[in-house]
Amino acid sequence: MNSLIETIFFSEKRKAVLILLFEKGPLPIETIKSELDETSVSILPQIKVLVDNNLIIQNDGIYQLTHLGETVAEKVSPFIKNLQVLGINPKFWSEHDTSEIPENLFSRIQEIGDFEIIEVDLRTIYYEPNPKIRQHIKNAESIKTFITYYAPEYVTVYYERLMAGAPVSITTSDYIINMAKDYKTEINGLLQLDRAELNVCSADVKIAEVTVTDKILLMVLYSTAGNLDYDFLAAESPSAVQWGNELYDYLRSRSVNKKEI
Amino acid sequence: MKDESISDVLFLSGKRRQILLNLMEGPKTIDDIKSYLNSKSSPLMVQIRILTRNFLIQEKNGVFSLTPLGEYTVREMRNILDMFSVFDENPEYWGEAELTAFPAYLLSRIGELGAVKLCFPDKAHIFDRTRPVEKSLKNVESLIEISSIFKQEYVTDYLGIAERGVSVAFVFTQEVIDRLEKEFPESYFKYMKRENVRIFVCPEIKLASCMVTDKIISLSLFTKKGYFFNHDLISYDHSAILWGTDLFHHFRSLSMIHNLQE
Repeated sequence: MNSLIETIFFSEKRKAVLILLFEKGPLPIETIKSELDETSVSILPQIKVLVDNNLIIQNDGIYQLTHLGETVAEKVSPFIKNLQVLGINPKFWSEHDTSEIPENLFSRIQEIGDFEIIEVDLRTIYYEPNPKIRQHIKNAESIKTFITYYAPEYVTVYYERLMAGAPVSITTSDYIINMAKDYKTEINGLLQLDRAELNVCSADVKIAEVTVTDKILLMVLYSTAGNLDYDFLAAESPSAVQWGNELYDYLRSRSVNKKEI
Repeated sequence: MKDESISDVLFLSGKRRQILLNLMEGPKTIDDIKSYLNSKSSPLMVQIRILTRNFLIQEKNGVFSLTPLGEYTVREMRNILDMFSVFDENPEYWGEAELTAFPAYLLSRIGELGAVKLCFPDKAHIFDRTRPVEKSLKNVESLIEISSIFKQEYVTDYLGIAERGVSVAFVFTQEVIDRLEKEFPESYFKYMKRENVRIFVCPEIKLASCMVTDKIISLSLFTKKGYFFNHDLISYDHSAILWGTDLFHHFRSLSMIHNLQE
């Protein structure tokens, strides 16, 4: 018997077989070979190690996880998948404060899938929205935005979407709402619309922005030093949008709805 | 080592894991890490450089700490290592054991059992409790027993403990309660009369037995083929006792309180 670290992590092939069987359920050897692009000669010795260590069993040519294998894979597989997503840009995740993202969501960070970091040109901020981000919002059929910093350049873009019939939900701090008091009448008029929603969150939530449309998740985190570098994380898979919706719902659940300001 | 993955960085070096676990306690100087690992600085620096260039740790004014990426990674890694160490301690046992006895969420937290020891009685005591469990019962302050098998001590030692006024909770299958009631009516009625004893009846218990006191957890499982051999898998860790208490809550939530039939 080997230690579980040796059994699972000392071989890319064994790790891959374990994750494959965890995700796809019982499989015949032919499928395992084709999924992992291996031959019998290259994969069978590794499968034997997993069998010898009670992690998988074979019945009538079908391989499946044992209960022990399932228990171990359930811990290992999501972790490896999360690390693969975090590994797309480990620097970003090492420099930004993620402590405000609830553990049950961060432990599913793999769901955001492939992502890119959009760096906003700090010289143009306050005057015009970043063209890429403007594009995403301009085409959105629904928008939810949690935001704790002042971004007046997006007001017209959001206004256009709201007027075009898209539901818009904004969750922000009292501090930001006070800055908009000059437009009190206009804002209260808009809040009469069923599809417009405004919530107030506590000012000390350490997430700069989470915007979820029907197509994209955009997220801005504070740096570990506590300042804002306007690095937008952008992820476009359906599971990223779903993940973003859950994060937004969580943030909204910790805020108070406002019918007027 | 150009395209090293984070999981390789973690799992292919015990030294790197130890450095990370050390930093989980808080920021450390290189001297702190050296003395924790009992290691010379040159081989250590190689590993520290690998951890730094993979963004898991950072250095500021000679003090090393985990980055946010490192915090998440080490927390999850420790979770996995805790589970591995429980299974690795007795791989044959866990390979044979009927694990469906536990709900998935508690199996996933099996690492909380911590320092587990598998004990067997010697031949002359093959039907008895193992010594450590025996000893631990001397001065228990609370006692939980979840069981699908009838043990003689339910009508001997356990009754004595109940009569000392210690809070006792049983989760039994109907079969165990029936045997207690029919074959040991005197003990059964003594239990039923005591306010410090609660008996729950659970429709299905797939483990043999589990005892949780304020001092120890002791588990016995069936094998996957349904066989039983006398053993106690024990742990004295605080986290293990909390785990056992959660196991009790799980079974209790599936149970009915057992009252005297009028």
